[in-house]
Amino acid sequence: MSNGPNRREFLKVLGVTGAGAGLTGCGTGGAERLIPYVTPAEEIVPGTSTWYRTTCRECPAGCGMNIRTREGRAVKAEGNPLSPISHGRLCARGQASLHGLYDPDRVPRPLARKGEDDWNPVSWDDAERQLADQLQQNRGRTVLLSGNYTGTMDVLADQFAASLGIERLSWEPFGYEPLRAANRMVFGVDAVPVNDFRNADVVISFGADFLETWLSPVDYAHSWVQSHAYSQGRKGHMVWVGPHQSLTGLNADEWLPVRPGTEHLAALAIARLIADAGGNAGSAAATIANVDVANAAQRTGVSVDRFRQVARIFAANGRSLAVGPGVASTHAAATAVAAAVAILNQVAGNIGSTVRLENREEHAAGTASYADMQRLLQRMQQGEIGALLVHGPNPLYNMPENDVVEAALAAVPFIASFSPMLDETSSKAHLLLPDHHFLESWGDFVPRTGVTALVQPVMTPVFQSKQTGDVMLSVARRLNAPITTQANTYYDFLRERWARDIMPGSGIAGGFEDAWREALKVGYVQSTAPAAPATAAASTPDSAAGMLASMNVMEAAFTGEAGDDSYYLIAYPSYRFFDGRLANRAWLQELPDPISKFCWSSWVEINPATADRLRIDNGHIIEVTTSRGTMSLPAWRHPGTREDTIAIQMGQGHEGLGRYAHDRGVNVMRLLEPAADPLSGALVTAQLRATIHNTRKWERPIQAGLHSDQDGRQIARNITLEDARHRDEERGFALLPITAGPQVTPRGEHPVRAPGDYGRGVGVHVEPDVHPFDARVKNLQGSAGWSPTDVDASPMGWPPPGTHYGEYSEAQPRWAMAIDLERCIGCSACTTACYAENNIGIVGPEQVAKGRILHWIRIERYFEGEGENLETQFLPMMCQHCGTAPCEPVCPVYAAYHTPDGLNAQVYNRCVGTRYCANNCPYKVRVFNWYSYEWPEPLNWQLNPDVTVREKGVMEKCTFCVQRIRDAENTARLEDRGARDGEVTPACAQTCPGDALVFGNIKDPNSRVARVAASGRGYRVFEGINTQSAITYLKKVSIHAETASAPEAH
Amino acid sequence: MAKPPNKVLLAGAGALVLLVVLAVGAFTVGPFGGGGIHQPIAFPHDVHAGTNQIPCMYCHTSADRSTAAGIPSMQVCAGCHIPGGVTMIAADSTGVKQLEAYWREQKPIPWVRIHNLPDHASFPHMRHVNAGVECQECHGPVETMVEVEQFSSLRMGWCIECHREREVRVDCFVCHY
Repeated sequence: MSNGPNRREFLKVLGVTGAGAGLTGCGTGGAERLIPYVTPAEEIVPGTSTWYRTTCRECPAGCGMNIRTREGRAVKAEGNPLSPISHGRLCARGQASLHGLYDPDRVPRPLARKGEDDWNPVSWDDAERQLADQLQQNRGRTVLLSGNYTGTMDVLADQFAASLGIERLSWEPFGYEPLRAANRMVFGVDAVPVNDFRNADVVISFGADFLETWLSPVDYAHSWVQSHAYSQGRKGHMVWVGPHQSLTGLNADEWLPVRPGTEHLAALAIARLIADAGGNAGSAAATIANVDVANAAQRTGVSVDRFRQVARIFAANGRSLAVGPGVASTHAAATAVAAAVAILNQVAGNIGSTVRLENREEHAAGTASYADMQRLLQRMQQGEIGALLVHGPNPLYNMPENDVVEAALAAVPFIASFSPMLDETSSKAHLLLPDHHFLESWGDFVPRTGVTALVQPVMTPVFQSKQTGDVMLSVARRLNAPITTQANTYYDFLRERWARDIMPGSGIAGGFEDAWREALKVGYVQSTAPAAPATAAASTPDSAAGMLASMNVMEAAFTGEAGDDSYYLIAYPSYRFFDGRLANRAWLQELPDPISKFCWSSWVEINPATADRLRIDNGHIIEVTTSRGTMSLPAWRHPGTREDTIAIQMGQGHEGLGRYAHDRGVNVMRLLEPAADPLSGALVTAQLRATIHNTRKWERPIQAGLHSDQDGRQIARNITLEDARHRDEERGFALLPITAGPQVTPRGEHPVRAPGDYGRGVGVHVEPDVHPFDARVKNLQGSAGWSPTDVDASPMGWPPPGTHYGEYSEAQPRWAMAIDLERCIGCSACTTACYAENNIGIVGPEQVAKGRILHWIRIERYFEGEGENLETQFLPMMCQHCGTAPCEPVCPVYAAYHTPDGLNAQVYNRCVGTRYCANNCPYKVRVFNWYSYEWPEPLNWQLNPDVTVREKGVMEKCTFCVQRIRDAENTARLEDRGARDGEVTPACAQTCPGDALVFGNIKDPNSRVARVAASGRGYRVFEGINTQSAITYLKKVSIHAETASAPEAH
Repeated sequence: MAKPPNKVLLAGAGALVLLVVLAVGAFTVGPFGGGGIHQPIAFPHDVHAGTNQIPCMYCHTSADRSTAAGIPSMQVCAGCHIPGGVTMIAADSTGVKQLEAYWREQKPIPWVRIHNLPDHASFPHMRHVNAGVECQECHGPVETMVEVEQFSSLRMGWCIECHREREVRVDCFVCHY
């Protein structure tokens, strides 16, 4: 024993004498400093948000954005409702742009190479001097390799290049070369027209994933949902043609699983059938006349009847649209696919209506092809290039021939990179001059003909980066290069050009200054100036004629062994990471992939029948081998893949980029041969057959949501068009202007599809023909007594009069949501928006695999049926804010309780982490903080100051964005009025491209949510267990649904 | 060989701890904390808000429109004391001389926070100000304070008491989210 006083006695004495020590308790801790502004920024009021309009540059689509800032820091990205590209919505990538801004792995300052992976920090002055010296020495031997600038940056780069003898090459890995080549051949237009999905009742996509990455996904998703989703008795139709279903394919009503490499044959067969029925083939008549439909059916593996059926819908409608090919269906005959799609549109009379050649996706034009890049590599290897400036592209990652790219980069004596990230290519550079993130930059961008969008900084730069436009101006000045400008900065240059070219004589009183401010407020300007004249077919007219003549027999070759264990390999773009450039966004890594629900890793998609034959289960490690090499990755059984096809997503397997991207999964480009399509110069991604080998090793998949099967629990339900119409008629259409949101334009007259087109049912759902709100159910009163009572089951009528559960009063709203499954495309933008708004922690791959992912809203994805009858249902699942919530009575410390305004609340400072609530939740929407998750500096700058950051031991879940509800209440009170419908929009509903989620006070019968919830398609998940949830789902209208007949067994 | 614990020594240690606690408390705890804390500039609220009758919201401008009342920027101080770069109004006082030095260097004054709301609670100033709650009801007679002290406990019981009296919401989720 020790000699001194023991611990217990010491504490006893202290307990007597030191009673006062506990007084300080919580709250008044150590001295905190309050640092005032010296000179305040005019627009900043501490504690309130300031919003800025800018343009998203995460992918080339150019969506208009609203950025919310607090005390000078960007904290949330939303769509700009005025933008014709984003319609106020963003995809998950746009939501995660803030992670790019605050990426802890950004290059913090200019760096000069010292050795292998070793850099010296240099000053901007030094860096620019080194760059200027090199440009001086390498006049005429320098290449500027950039992404597609468009707009003012394009003008500046041209002048910079001209004055310093620099050659320019703009390259985007997703360059749409086949589309451009085909439009050259068929229409004489070297461009990609905008596709008008809003006015297309029937859409056929030949592998174009227009809901994910293709051209302008947010606009396309938003517009497509308007025309496709069931509304007032009408519904659009979509057909997916291809061997593999990406997210877009899973949203199609019909799937024609053609053999890889034969999409053009399918398109031509449909065109031929339409032409035979009187369609106007025009200039394509000769091509179509050659088409043998029976032969096409045999070669594609799709029956003539199916073609006939599709042709009838496509032609009879008058307002249809064919699109394709996508990046994943770029095989050796991809240009033929694009040409066949153009011909199909022509035959169906869509040119001039849903496809207007004068309205173009400008961001998809004017870039170099993959073949041009190959030529550049060759010249680099031959020592013709003295200096290479890279701004944007990452060829070492995105091109299959990484060995060649590496050798080519090594052969260039001087490489400068403007990349803000140390990606594969920039890590080979000699000088790094990190560009600002776009949220710190000035600029403009031309997404479409007639739309010039502005990019403005929303906060002061996080790091010591410098905008590349400014570097160019500064370097040109150092070299006395004659750039024709008085501008000192890129900002001046931009305004100079806008005053000269974009808004000359702007017509607004107050002149340019006022017009400029107005443009910044709106986010873009629209010009009515006519589009540039169509570029005549410049290249390969002979091959074009040859292709048009022979495309009916053309078939894309797939190299590699044909045989039982060899499969067509599809490499498809990632919704989350695009071409891989966004792989270091932790939010996107943690976001369950919309298709497979994998996080943080790669996987290979194998048809379940094939997998059964090879005894492969989800998580088995598979070796995929092509002529280029072997890769090991976990398997995932995807019923949307043909039995002879496997698919791997692009975007992972980075060797650089940052801590979140490094060494996650595989880079599928390494499995591809560096082959270019001779007609368009595009990289051929669908070209190989691969062999697969089951290693029999199994690893727990890093997957959130392992269930693809509803097991008959009727969570996500569907309904036939007939039944939906019937029910709505019963309830009165007057009740149902459900698309009455401000962002939705009413639809014109549509021919309604014949009822016979639907009802080829394979669904399993049987339910009563009674709307849940109409049912009278035996109910249990709340904590007042648990006595049975007869109540109206609708969320509007909850709580029943006379109950004393909580402190309900008549004057209180009941916050509720209606979710239209017709409008949910499964894109999961809501999930990322929720992460951004609610400070949700990133748990990392190991914890995800243990089921500890913290998402408050998830998209459940269920498969029913198989093959051509595969039906995919998406369902956003979050806290249902139940009227009789099972989580509430089991909490021993009253942390889970019901608020008077109908929210199921979780009080973090009460929670002691028993997790009883999560165990008792039938929806499994409560998540537990197993650790205190961290935000490495400066990612913590993004945290929403209005929301508590939870720590270890606390349960959390969806709050319906209560901070936004309180904010709206505060605003309404300040303005001395009541809350208005539509004033509160949770982050998930705000960003939804399909407008699937509607939020509001359901007690107000005129609120939008009450009207939507009253739809004849309404139901509540697990209605039978009497949770009285506040979320009404609207059934998906599906051709695979079964006509309601038998009553539901509960 | 083990000795019995020395009770005298223990009591002495306990008393010492008590003394330290009380001594520290005297300087930091005040009624609820904040008293005795010296600010980098001895800003006399009694002179500004008391003698000169400057309204609270002349300096704490956002109290009626934001969750935060706002700490006045240096520009607000300089607007009265150093207009156009000429120091006036009590130009000879130590405080104004210090202010002049900060302003010349364009450095912010690192004020010490007195009113520190417990964590995990949101407090919207504007709702209270617009409901007619006087600043003094929570912050005390600031216009008589030479050095500002925390007047109210800012604990939940204190909030609830007032909310009950006024019959406004006492729901957890109003403040804790």
